[in-house]
Amino acid sequence: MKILVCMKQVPDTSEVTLDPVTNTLIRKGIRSIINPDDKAGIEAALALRDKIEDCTVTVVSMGPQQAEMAIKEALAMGCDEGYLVSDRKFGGSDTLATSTILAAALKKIGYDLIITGRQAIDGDTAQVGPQIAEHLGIPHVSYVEEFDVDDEEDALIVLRQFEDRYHKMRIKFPCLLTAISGYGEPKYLTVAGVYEADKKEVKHFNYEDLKDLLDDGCIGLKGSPTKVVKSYTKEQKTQGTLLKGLTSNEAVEAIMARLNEGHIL
Amino acid sequence: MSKDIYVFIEQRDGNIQNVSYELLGEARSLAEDLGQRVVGVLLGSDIVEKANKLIKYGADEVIVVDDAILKEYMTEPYTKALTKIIKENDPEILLIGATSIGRDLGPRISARIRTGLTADCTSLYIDPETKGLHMTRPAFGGNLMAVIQCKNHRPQMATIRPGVMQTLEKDESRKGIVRKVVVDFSDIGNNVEILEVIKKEKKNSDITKSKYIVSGGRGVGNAENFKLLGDLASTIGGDLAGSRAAVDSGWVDADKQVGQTGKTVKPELYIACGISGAIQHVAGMENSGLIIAINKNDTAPIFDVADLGIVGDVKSILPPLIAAINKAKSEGMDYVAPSSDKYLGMENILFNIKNRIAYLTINRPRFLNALNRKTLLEIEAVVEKLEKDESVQVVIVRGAGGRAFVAGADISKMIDMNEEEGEEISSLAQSVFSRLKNLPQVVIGAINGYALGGGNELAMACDIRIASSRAKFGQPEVKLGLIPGFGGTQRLQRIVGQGLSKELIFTGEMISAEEAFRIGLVSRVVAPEALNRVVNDLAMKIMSNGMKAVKLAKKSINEGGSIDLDNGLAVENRDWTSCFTNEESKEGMSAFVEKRKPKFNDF
Repeated sequence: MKILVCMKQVPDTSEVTLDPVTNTLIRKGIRSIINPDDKAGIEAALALRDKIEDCTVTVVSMGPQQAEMAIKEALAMGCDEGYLVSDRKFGGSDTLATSTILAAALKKIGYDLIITGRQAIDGDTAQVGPQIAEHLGIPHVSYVEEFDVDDEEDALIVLRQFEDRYHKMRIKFPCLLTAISGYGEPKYLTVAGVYEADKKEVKHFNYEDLKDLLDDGCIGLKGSPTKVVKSYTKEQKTQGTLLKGLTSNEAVEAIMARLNEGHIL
Repeated sequence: MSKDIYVFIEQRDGNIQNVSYELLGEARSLAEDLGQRVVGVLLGSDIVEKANKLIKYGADEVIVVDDAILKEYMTEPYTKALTKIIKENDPEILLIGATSIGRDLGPRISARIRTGLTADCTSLYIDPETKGLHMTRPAFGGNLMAVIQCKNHRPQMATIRPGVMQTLEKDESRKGIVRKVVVDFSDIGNNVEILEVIKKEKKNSDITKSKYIVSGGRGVGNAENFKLLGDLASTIGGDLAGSRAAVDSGWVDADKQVGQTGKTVKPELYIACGISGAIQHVAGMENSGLIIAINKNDTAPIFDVADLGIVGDVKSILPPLIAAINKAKSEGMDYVAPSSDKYLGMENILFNIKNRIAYLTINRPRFLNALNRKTLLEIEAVVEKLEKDESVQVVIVRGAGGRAFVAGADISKMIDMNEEEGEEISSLAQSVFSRLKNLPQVVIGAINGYALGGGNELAMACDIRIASSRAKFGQPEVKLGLIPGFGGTQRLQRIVGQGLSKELIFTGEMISAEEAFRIGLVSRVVAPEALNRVVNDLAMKIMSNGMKAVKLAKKSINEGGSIDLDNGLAVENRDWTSCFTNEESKEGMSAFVEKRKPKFNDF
């Protein structure tokens, strides 16, 4: 069985800070990581591989050349092969165009099961996974928390989480799952794993490799229906009132006056 | 041609989810900007009788697909049904709640239709020129806001974060169409099947629906102190919540966690106790109405988002606060702050004075603050007191509730009026508004929502108008076979000129806050949540100046508005001269020469 895992290299948004003077994002010096949900997808795929005979795990990432580092990391985690999908023509793609390009690459590689992270921490859209499934004409289940192959090995039994309920589902191959981070115990890199990974080569797909499966009008900036017209850091609220050194009674008075003024009481 | 705003109505176990009502409210406002209709799409099993309720909440039409296969959400049948409806009707916009169901369904639809989809939006806006939809969404963990457009593909699709948009009040009189559509699901195979639905244990109340929230963090210290927060919450009729630290300490349940990894809440009041205010927490509560923070550490970041920050100990402040609220409640009236004077006994308006600012709030939110005779008389009574009240320097006029400033005169009371009664109400309103306009104080209108007919006329009687981006303006009287009667035909032309004034009055159409700003009807447009603050800040800024001069300037401008230039200049000359008879100008000019701040308050 062939499992493909889609992953994205992202800036570690927990390290993102705002420049207090210009109120813009400070991007410099922020480290790049494998998107946490995607990492969970890799863990889950590797766990499944251990249970099934003749099973391989391939990671696929679309991004600039430097994303090769993330693929190397995935190989060090134990993935069998890795592909980087990269071309100038792919730049500026929105989720629809990105999913179109990735779907073409996945089709070229071949798959029984595709796993994507639920969402990337930089864009937070959670759209690319289900869109890939639609382009490939296969079913998907999102927000998967646990899964296992069923007895006949022709389907997965998955547990997916919504806000108020779980669905225990059976989904036949070929199919796509989007995984929630926190799946399983993290697999730590081993020296042997890193050494092995170094011997594996990252394979590359560019526009030329995929063009027989792509419509030029559906990729890159010009094939993207949505466009970012403006971005800004959040407006800082105008300063409220800060009261210091009050007695408790004065503090109560200040709060009551404010509640009264807001017609809350 | 694409038309209408479609809203995917999400049901679970046959219950319409809150987010769907919120989206209907938002769609209503977009539909008005576009001159189009709101269509709800309801998918489910044995569901058709729920359709009527959607109309009461803002839908013009509800398309229902009622089929057993749609009982529990499954990607393919839902995608198939919704895709068919989109293809047959060609909507301009499709809104879907950004719940896990919506975020599963949305991308599948967008890829099948091949149109753009913007995820997890927190604000929508129609560009007045292109009529395209601007969708704003947070990215980079909430650090960055991106505005996204989908120019060439229809429908323009967005998933919308739950709890952000406003549900309209239920309107029993709204009428609409319910249309059943049959979809053939026979080709849906058994590639995917649900084996079991496991409901999560129902926890008490859902904090995303709370009106008031008392929330605690690590700084509360221990479980014993945390109980005080629960007491405060029940005293004000609100709910208890907490930061991640409070949840991790076991002081509050995990489903009450506010923040990036918990819930996003937007209550009218959020009291943050002992919460430092990490960016992850702030992301979940910063859009709350009034934020009050109590924390020992005066550099806690929570104070950056708080409207009122108190540096102090939660443990010593909460008990007397609970007692004070109980006392206010038992007295059966609004708590009267020691510094505020209050005129009691008014039914339709709220009035109080604080820090030399008087707040006059039209308070009939159920009727969108529509003006009736009684309300006008109450405004008159307040204006009469203000005319003599020298302690007040600025008057702020505003509307209660989130939707309207004043949506007009109360038409239901006018249907049976005869000529004489019609004359009387116009004379009353004109005289009240003129007296308001000529108050010695500066009058600022904080226009938070609809300012239509009498509402726009009331706004125009203010010296300065500041609008929330949600505000809408218009003089729709001709649609009822009337003309503006509370000053509209006269004041509007003096503000925007005759041509625009005639266009607005002859068409009766509403205009957006941005348009009102463009034509000079309002002097600023601000985010809804910032309106009160901006208006307060403006009042404070004005009051930092010589108020005798400000009042004389107002008098001079007002008089000049109805006379010719030469006579106007004579008025200015007279008022300028009189500045020299008071001490205020001496203080102001001396301070300027001595390079110090003037002390105007003494005069």
